[in-house]
Amino acid sequence: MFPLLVDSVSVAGIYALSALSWVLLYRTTRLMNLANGQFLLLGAYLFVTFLVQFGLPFPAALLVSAAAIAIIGALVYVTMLRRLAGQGEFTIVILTLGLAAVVDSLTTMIWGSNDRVMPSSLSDRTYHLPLNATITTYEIIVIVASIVLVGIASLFIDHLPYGLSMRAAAENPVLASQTGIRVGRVLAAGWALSLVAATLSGIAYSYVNVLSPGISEQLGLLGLAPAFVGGLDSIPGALLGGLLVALGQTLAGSYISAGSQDAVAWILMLVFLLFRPQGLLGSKRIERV
Amino acid sequence: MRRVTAAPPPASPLRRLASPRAVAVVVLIVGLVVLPQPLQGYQVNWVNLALLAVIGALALNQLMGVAGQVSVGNAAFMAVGATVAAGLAQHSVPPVVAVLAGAVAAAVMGAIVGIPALRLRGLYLAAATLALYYIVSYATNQYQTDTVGASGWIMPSFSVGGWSLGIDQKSWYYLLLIVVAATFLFLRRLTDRSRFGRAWHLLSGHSKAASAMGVDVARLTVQAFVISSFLIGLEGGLFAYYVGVLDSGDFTLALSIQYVAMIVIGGWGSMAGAAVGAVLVTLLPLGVETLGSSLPQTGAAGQFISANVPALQGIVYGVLIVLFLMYQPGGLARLAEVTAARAGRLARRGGGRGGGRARPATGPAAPVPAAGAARARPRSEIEPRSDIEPPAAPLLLTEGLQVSYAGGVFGTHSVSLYVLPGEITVLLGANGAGKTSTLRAISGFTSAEGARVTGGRVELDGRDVTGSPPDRMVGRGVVLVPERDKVFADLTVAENLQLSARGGRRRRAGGVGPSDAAALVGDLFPALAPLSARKAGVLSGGERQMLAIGRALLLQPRVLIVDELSLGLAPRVVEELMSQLQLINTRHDVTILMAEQSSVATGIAQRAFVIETGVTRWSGPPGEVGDGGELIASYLGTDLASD
Amino acid sequence: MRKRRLLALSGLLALVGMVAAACGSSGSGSGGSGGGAGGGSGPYVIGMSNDLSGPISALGLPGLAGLKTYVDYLNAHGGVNGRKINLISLDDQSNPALGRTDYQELADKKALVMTGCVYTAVCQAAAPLVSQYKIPIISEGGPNNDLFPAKPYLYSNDLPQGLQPIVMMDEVAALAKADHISKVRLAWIGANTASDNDGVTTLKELVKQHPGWSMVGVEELPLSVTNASPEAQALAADKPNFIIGVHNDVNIIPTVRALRAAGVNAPVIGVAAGSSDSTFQALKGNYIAWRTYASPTDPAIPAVAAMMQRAAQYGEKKQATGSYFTQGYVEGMLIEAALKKCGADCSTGEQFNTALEHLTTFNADGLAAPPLGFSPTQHVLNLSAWFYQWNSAKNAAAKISGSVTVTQSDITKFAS
Repeated sequence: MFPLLVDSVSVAGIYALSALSWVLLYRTTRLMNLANGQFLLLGAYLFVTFLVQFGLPFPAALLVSAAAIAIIGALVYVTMLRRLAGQGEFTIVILTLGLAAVVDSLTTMIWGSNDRVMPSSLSDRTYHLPLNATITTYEIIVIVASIVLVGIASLFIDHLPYGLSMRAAAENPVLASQTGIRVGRVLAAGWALSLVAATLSGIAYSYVNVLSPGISEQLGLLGLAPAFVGGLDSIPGALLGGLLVALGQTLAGSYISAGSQDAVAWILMLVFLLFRPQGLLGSKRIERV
Repeated sequence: MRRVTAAPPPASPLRRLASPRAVAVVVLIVGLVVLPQPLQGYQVNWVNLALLAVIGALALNQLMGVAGQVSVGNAAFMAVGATVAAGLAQHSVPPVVAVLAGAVAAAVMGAIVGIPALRLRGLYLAAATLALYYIVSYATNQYQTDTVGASGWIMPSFSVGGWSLGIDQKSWYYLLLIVVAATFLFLRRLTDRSRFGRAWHLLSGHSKAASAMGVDVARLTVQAFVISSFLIGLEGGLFAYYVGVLDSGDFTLALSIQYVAMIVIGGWGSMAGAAVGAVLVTLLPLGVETLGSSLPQTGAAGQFISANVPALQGIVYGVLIVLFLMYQPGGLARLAEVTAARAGRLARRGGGRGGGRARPATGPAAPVPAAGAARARPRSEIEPRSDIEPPAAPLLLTEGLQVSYAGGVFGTHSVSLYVLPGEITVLLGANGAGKTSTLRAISGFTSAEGARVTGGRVELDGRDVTGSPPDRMVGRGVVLVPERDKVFADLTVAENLQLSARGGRRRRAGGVGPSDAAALVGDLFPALAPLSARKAGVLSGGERQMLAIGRALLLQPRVLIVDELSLGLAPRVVEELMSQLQLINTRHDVTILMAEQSSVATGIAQRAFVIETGVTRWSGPPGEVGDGGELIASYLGTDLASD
Repeated sequence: MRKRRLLALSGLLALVGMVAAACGSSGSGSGGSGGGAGGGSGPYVIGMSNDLSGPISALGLPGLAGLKTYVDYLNAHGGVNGRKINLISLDDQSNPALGRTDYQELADKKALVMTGCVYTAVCQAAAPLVSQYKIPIISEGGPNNDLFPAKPYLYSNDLPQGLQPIVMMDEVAALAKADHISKVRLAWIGANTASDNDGVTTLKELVKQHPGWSMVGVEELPLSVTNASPEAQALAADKPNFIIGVHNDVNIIPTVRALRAAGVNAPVIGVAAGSSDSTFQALKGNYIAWRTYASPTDPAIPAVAAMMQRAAQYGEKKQATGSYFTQGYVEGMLIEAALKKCGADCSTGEQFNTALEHLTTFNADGLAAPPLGFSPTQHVLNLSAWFYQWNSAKNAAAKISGSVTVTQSDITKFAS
């Protein structure tokens, strides 16, 4: 059992990062971006391009691709979503569906649909833990990175002044602009942050597994499940949600059937939506009829 | 001599037949009946696929466009309908029964989904339908693995009575045409005419209003899900028989997105629009392939094109969704409407200048605008006061202010008032008279509800500031405490004040100074101190109002505008707040403009204006409000007259 | 009133417009115009229906590119029997409805053959039409019952899934013999799909044929593998010395990694879908997978060089990424051979079908594992595979076996 749990933790980290992208967007704009998976894939492809084609060292490739996707996210807001500001979240969610189709086709056109194995820049050593468990270098990095990134996000949004502005703008843009907050800029920044988090989760996943077009659904959309389990408006909840979903998948795989692993995350999410929509750590302000 | 004008002769039956509408319908029917004849087999095939899609699009339109529910689960319902029909077909169940059973199974699932829809809205419901899609996907895959295996379900030939359709495209065409027509008529019946039908339209976004009108929201919502999923399941079952083989992987998320595209492109809430959207999106691959083959095939450009043409489809309908949502949310249906209205107007007036909108503005009768009129000014049945002249230089002034909302609704028609520096002025009026619209217009808060200033002007210090955004107005010292959403509910009390303090620091000279403001808040509202860490959303009404005024003060206003301070508060709390406002006014020289329904502010105010149905009706010292007639006294409360 | 009329009119107009477009469309793909393959003078018309924009476009696009390369090459050298070839390429998006529509379209355009069709369900939707239109379908794989016994007009140009376990077991036997392992403890780990369950059943039957061998573990994986450790741990407990791993490139990598992390070091034998160069490179030692077609990156096969040179010449190099490209290319060679047999007057699917059936020996220049051919009772082109493993000295995936072939008795036992 213990080795399984240890294996789940690194997967939980990746899920947490994906969940973070959904939570960040919700906290800063009150929206859901159904094209999240496609942008995740786009960011990961950009990273691979900078790393392999351009030959940049790992940190530089990471920074450049994060910057690129942040700019793309801000542009998406400024060109399309800003215009629809008053029209209700429903319209915007549908618009992101349209975006998903476009970005999907674009990534296929530019990068094809073959999968890519990440060039291993670190020696992937396996460490042996008590009780027959093992953990690799990559897994340790992913776990540490996810905790650190979620911590930074939480600090930024919940405790720093700019984060305060973002939270105010998300809740009540007009009142926020009254206090002098540049609402347009702040919302664009929210989009940028969310997509960067998604990209990071995609990159992490690609190192542990493979970079393939399937991760737009498998990781990008799936991130909704840990997001709702932890609480759509709770940043630390992303970690908890990721852990629960990963554990749930592992247990289902061991005790029920392999196929159920696919469905467990979604079943968990549905259960929470029906019985505890605010998730484990979220606040109770849910849109009810 | 008496002139006799003969009434026009009644339209003879022949005349009616020749009416444009009848002709169009006949042409349509004939066209549809004859359609398959000149076409090749595979082209009829494409048309059949389009017809199947129309069924699903009409159903989704019912759910999303009419009942306003979000669903990305189309593919899931299709899968259920198809799988159940396929499973039954393996046990020699007659095709019509199998298809109907599949539809019923989908409807049952729809009912189950409808229940969380009662408690979740918007994003949460969309997420739930997404989860549903993946769970159904897994379940049908498991079922396939356990029963028929990799080859999928092989379907027998579809037969109705003695008529076996097999792979005959033309027979399928007529069958599907009948099903589509039946669906159309059924849905039209459901949502037209009757009170029951109109109730559907209220669900979308107005459920509170709907239930107030006696509409059983719960029942209708569930009904919407049941009906639409029945139809989508029906489409799934027919699809399985039509294709002849079914695999659980046939129904992808991309398919759900395609159906949403159909509704968006065709037109939200429009059945004909949904049908047109369905045809366009289904035939898109054909169009793209045709485009691809007509472009150069050789050379570098040609290779690029032919390699990328298949991927083009996603781009085309994705871009269409985005463009339509941004520029024409009503889809093609609305586009057709607008074009028709414009064409009709041009035809009638022979090219005269017409108004901008297809729908006439609601409200008092809108006359034909005079040529050259920049903005329409509707007549009002109540004459605005024309003798409102400030006795001294006012700090703030509005003249003939007209505020309109989206859809042509007017907040105010012509409001004129003034605020003298250092005074407390109160704006009186009943619910809906236009107080909030006026205050919003003055402080720049119009975009909150999609409002616009369409007439008159606002002056501050003698300068025209009409239409300035809130931050600009705050920069000039005008701060509004709104009626609703007056604080940030998700932020703590301390954070609310922090934000305003930051904003106030940007203010230039004049009004309450920074340290003064913070100290002032501490003095006036000591009750707030222990609540620092609490979220503003959980405060009591009185505490929230204190916080709202406190944060407004931190923005260092010269003019503090308070909208409906007393709403929902106990009289003692209101009294206290009034005295604190008075303190702010006298000791710190902040001019105050208040809006109230009741007479609570008349004790502290120096001047009153009365608004009725969007027009200034009276102005003068508050004590004299009672002298204007029973009409005014009656809704302000009789205690005013006795003051 | 007016609103409804206008909507009705616009709906009608849209419909008429679509129909006009469809009528006017003369089909797509290289070579432009459709129209009949008239006997003797006009071009031969052939069709390919692939997934070009759907979930498995990574397979469809290279396949089309391969076929196009060879067809372009033929056309540039006078065609076959003095006639050029008109290739109509259609996109089925892995949607059976479109698979059927595409077949119908090719039939309407008097094609001689339909190729492509990777997914079984997509081809199956078209299968009922063959008896009416008599145009052969050459699909890539397919369920046993469609291919054994040979059904009229249905062919496969790849090793059918039902026979794949046989080939893998032959290789296991060869490896066990080389390593002097007499008691094979075989385990299976793979995707949770129906076809894979059939494979497990076949494997269990095969194991029974070897005394001393046992099937020690069967673990199912989800369709998308993020974390294979539960299954890997469970398999480790069974202590296998050979493992058969059935999943595609994307998912076999985390699976094998999880196995190694769980301490399972036995050789893993994978399938063609998990045999891309990058997979071998990522998994390195002790991962073996078979291919029926050579990879365009294989340095050891001479014909590959010529194929790649033509790919560059005709602008399809970008898609020449894996053996799916080679499969399309060889399909072009196959069609050329059949057309030659069919003759200059070949004008109907029926005639082409007869030619196919009598193509008993087909030479693919080493691009596909031999022997290759059709017969009136045998509609599967390939019954053999090569096995590959990563060779760090050569820094490439290299063959570790000759052609491993399914025998006739095997077919009788497991397929008919």
